[in-house]
Amino acid sequence: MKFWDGIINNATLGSAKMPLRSHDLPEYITESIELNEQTEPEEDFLRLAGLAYQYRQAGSTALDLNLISQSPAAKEEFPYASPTSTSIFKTIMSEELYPLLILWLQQCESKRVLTEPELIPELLEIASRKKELRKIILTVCGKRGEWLSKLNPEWDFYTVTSDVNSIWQTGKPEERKELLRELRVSDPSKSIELLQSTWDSEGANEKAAFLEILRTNLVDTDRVWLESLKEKGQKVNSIILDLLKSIPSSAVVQHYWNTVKDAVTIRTGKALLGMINKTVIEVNENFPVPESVFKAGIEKLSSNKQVSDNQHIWFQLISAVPPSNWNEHFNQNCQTIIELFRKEKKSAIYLPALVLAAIKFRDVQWMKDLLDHSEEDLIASSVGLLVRALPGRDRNAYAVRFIKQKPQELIPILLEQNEEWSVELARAILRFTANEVYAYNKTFYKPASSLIPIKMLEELDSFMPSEDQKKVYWKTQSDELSRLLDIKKQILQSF
Amino acid sequence: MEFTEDQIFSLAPDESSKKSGKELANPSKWSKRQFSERALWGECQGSGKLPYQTQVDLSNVAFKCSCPSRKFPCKHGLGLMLLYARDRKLFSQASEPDWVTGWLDKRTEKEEKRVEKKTKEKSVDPAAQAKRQENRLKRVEEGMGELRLWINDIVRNGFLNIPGRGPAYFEAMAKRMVDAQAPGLAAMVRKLGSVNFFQDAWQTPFLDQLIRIYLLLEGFPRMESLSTELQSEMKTWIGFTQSQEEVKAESGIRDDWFVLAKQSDKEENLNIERNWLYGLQSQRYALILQFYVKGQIPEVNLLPGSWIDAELCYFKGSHPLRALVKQQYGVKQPGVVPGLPSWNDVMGSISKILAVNPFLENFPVIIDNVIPIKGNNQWMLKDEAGGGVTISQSFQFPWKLMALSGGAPLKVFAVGKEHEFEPLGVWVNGNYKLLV
Repeated sequence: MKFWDGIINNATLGSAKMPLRSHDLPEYITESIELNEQTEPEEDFLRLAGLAYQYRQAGSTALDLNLISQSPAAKEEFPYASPTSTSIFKTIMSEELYPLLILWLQQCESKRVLTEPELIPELLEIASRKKELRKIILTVCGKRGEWLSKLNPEWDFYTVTSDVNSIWQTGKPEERKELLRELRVSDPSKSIELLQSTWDSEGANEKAAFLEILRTNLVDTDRVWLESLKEKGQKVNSIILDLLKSIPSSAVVQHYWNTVKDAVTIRTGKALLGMINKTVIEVNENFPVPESVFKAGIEKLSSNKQVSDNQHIWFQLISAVPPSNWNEHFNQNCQTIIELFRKEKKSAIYLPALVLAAIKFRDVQWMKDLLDHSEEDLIASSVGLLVRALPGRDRNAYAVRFIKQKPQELIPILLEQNEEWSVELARAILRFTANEVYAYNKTFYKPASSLIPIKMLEELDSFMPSEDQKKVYWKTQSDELSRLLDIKKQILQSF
Repeated sequence: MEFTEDQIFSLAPDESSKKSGKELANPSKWSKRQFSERALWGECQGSGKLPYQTQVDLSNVAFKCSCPSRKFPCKHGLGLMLLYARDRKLFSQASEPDWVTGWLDKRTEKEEKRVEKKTKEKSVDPAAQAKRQENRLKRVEEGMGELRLWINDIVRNGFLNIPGRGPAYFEAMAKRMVDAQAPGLAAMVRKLGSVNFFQDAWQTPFLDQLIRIYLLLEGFPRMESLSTELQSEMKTWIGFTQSQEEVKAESGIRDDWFVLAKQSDKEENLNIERNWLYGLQSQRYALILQFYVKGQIPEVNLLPGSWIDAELCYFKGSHPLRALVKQQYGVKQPGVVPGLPSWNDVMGSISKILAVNPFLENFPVIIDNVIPIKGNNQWMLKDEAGGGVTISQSFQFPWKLMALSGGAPLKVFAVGKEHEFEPLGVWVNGNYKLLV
């Protein structure tokens, strides 16, 4: 509306400098009204601007948006979640119960239902902040979510995931790392392919960061490429060596094995005045160690006065080779080998090295046998490490066994897992936390609620501490936990 | 009557009440859960010896609880109603116990007495009243004269230096208008000073407001030549209030009213609640404005998205929107609200209203089949004919609106004027969704 712009110009400069007259307005506004020019320009301005204002308001017509169009979202293939589950989602969001949000999303995904459209913006916003939830959020948001995300560059994850190569070639450093992280989980060989395609043009810092990402899902097939790398930088070389040390078939691990295998032997001798045979494991600490082993990362000197330099070297070497190699080497099972190591004080000092080796090479059988057959001292010092390294179901079973002995060490580890605790484990944990009311409060129960089975709802009263002063605290905490478990129950029932 | 959780949360006095209400929306917390045609009640074990008795009037939503909380509604009332909304099967139908019947009967009796009392004319001394009126008119006219000079000053010097004048410049004139017993004009002057001088083209809203004030100043001396409705309208804008008793004394419009939206605002310690309603038979919009301080109970509780059978009385004015609930008879089953077919039809109907009332600033509209779209970095609502309006910059939920639409046309309730509207609710597959 040009006439209005003109009036605004007059208004800005003021009627003293730029008076507004009736002929400044278009005839179609002034023609039907008799306008006598006033003596004061302010009066003229207000009368004419008032007239134009009324004309502008009353004569308004719709904007022509014919040139602006947008295609609608595709039809959904799956039904929407129930109104009850939608209202539970709102409760979860308003109280920021993220662990329960994951459960809610998993329920949607497993029951093949979609989130109500009105929740999609909130979920896409979460997806932009929490990358680990992106995939599941995109699934439950359906076609509507895909359509909506394309309208907002900050939510356009669909395009991002579909064009891997262009992100790798032209993306920002963080985007590239994120892509590599995702591929490392979903398609490890593709991640190596990408790295190879641009390796020579990457800077030392980028190389180091990318190699760190390879630690996830490190497999035997990565070895060939890692061993072929000829790097100048010490930082990059040290990471490469460290990675290769975790691959059983790598040259460095083989070199360690070739050094250590002949130094550790099983010897059978006579005991009790020659009346019985006694079989023991011997670690020949004086066995020659080639200089090349020290160049490959083994330290020569011990920093612990109670451990000799030789013991330190053999300890490192035993912890650097896959423990399953000993099964083949001695043709014995794990239990026998552990028991043989335990028999003599001289060999028992190397059992912690076997713990480290089992964890490093992710050998579940060895981890379990070490927990089953080791001495109490060793278990006390390494139960946390071993339980953390065990996969879900085994972790639950061993945690139940050791929770009484090491509750404070195991509970933080158990809070990190994704799988729900078994009823037995939850019972054992709650029995402990209910008595430690000052240390375990809302900040513990909020994340723990997704891990505690809803069956515990029936048993909460049974955990009431015996000390009177703790009872009030537990009542408050148990009410809070009961509420959280009730929401969890509603989630499970609403799908 | 179906209640949604959002509707119930809209009644909560604060966030902590919402949270506590959710905690209590758990069957295990209630030893008794029952309902009748007109009420809902339950017993909740609190920290005391006896359980709290909580009750909800379902026909004219209200709460009562024996707990000591000073919040209204308390967490028990909210929790009970939430539980009812979530799963009605948890409640058994029963005859009302004495403590429920007593409260409901008292409410009805009180309401009747209140209406009766308010409708009775107050005894006034007409001579004294006329004298007071005359004095006030004189003071208002004097104030208007000063305001006119002030406006002329702004027009003469131009808007260039206005942003640098600061709030005191406007506040001084607003206070002068309060002294002149023209609080309406004072509010208009304050609004003039509250224009955002940092936004692009601030001159237009500033000039619009200046012109509205000018129209009042020009129209006031010529009042007798105007229609009585417009006279009332102008008096209201200047600050002559109409008492609620006077308004309710008139016969109202009994209709099935759909509660379209509730907008809440806070000004210092005062809560301002704007409830938008639409009458199915009368096809009229109504704005129920409520003002109350923290801790005070609003006179009526209206649930957005619900239907009520009520008699509403409009304030006097030209095409008035503001109204009061004279009496509420209960809740109604959902009806179908008709919408206008295009934005040009909306503009046409607004033009007709402006012809009788040039002071109205915002217009409520229900329009069918509009698609929310984004173009030129702006959110818009496009109708089937390709016409459209922009969505106000202040609108906070454009993505929710887009998600609900999915690019398909929707029936929308919006408030605005000219080319700028703010959507407050939409119908999706016949269900009304609030944009909050």
